[in-house]
Amino acid sequence: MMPTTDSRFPTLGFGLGLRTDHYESLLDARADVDWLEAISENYLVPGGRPRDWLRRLRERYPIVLHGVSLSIGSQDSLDPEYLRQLKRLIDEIEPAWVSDHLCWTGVHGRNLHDLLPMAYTEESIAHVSARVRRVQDILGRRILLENVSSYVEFKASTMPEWEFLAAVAERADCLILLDINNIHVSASNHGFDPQRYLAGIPAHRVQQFHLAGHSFQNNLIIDTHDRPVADPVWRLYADAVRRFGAVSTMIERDDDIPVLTELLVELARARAIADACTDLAA
Amino acid sequence: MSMLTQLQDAFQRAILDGDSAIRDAVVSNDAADASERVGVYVHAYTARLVEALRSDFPTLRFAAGDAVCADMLRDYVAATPSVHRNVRWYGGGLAEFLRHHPPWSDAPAFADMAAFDWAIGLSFDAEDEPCAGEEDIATLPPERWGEMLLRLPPHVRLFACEWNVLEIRQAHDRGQNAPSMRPLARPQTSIVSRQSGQVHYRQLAADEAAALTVVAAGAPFVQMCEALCDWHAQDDVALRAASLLKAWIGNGWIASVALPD
Repeated sequence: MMPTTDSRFPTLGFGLGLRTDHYESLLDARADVDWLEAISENYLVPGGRPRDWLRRLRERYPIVLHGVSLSIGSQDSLDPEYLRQLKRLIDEIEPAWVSDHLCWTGVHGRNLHDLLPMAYTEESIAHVSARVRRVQDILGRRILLENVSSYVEFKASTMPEWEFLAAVAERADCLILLDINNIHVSASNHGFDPQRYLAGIPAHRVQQFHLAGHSFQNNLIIDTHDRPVADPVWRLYADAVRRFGAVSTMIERDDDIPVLTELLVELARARAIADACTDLAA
Repeated sequence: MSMLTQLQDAFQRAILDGDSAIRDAVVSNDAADASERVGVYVHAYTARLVEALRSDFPTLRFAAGDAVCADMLRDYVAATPSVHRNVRWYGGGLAEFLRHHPPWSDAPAFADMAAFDWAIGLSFDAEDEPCAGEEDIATLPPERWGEMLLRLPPHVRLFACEWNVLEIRQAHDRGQNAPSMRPLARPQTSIVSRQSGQVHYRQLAADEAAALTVVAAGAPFVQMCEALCDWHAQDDVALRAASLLKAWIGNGWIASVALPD
């Protein structure tokens, strides 16, 4: 059985999403990056260079694994083959922690390769939290669930997203990866106050922050990860640090990926904000 | 059917089939109505899969051009819901799709390009496995070499084609302009393999292709020698077979040598 205490993993500091463009830069010299977040699925391949790169980078940096296809909210059964492969990768890489998203990615054996939102109901909480517990038993460790950005809300929802996320984390005894950009995106798209979101999240469950850029499409904000972190997201990050303290923070960039030094400038900004806000909080 | 099941079923039908029922379950507000909101996911589905395929099929994209390639990839996405957790495997059916679905089947070179790209991708992240050495053969009694079974490692892929796929891929890799697609005078077999993490490809001589095809099928060494008889005089076959075997082992194309149980 998995442990039932609510203690979090040790804080790692300030990290980056691991992308192939930066493999060599990250190995060439010790960059000012405390840790790396690797997309699990990119390394769920039999062998070759992807696994080799990950092993070599693991010798230099703490690594966490971040999945995109656990589909914890789906009505389909959990995929035992996916979990077996993930467990094997975990055993090999020994990540500091493992995360995925509070979403579903498909039903009836299909995969839509997207992070699709849930209806925020008691039925959903019961469904997801039971599955998280099973996953944690299989993997032998507590996992993190991330809030996704969304463009739809369902009329069937009976509670706000933050209440849903908090309830799943408590009932499943899992941790939270709080994506600050996703809170901003969803707050704008659905018209809620992001401060109420932060206030509704239990601090003792928050293990990690994500920061990322977004873009605009008509009146909606789209979570594109293709540009620097926007100013409103930096401000919300400062609020999050004031509320949750020194939480491991990383920047995601998935498109129009710049040279590593550009991301390091953004990461330095995150450090500065966190330093200032934790000093104030202290 | 539970509410959650109904919602997910309807949402997936909106994305895969254009069904509009989910809109009734989605909140509209001043920022955007339900149709626009669901549309974000519908658009993202095709865009995301097309982008993944574009990066997995560089030879095809190079030969067809960006616009034509995008059309064929969108057709594939529309016809092929993903059943894979990992998008890495989604393109596995593209070559066969192009071979059998007009208008793409009217230009069979496209299917060969896709099959070649897929073979390179499979070699790239195939399982790591130690290679056999010449010393492994030396441990076998010479009188039983005819029974010897050679096993190819997962990164070695044989690729038979009827079009100038290698010429186009070489131009792509060298940063040259794409040559025209043209049929080969006769079908050719190439090998794709990985050495020190890098994937290599080259055309095989006809006799070597036949011999390696026999080995890949799991037949014993004696049958490989028989295959070489179509190209070489009886007295020369043993020398040619030994020469090929030495080269294959040197290239890391042989994972193991063993006698049958």
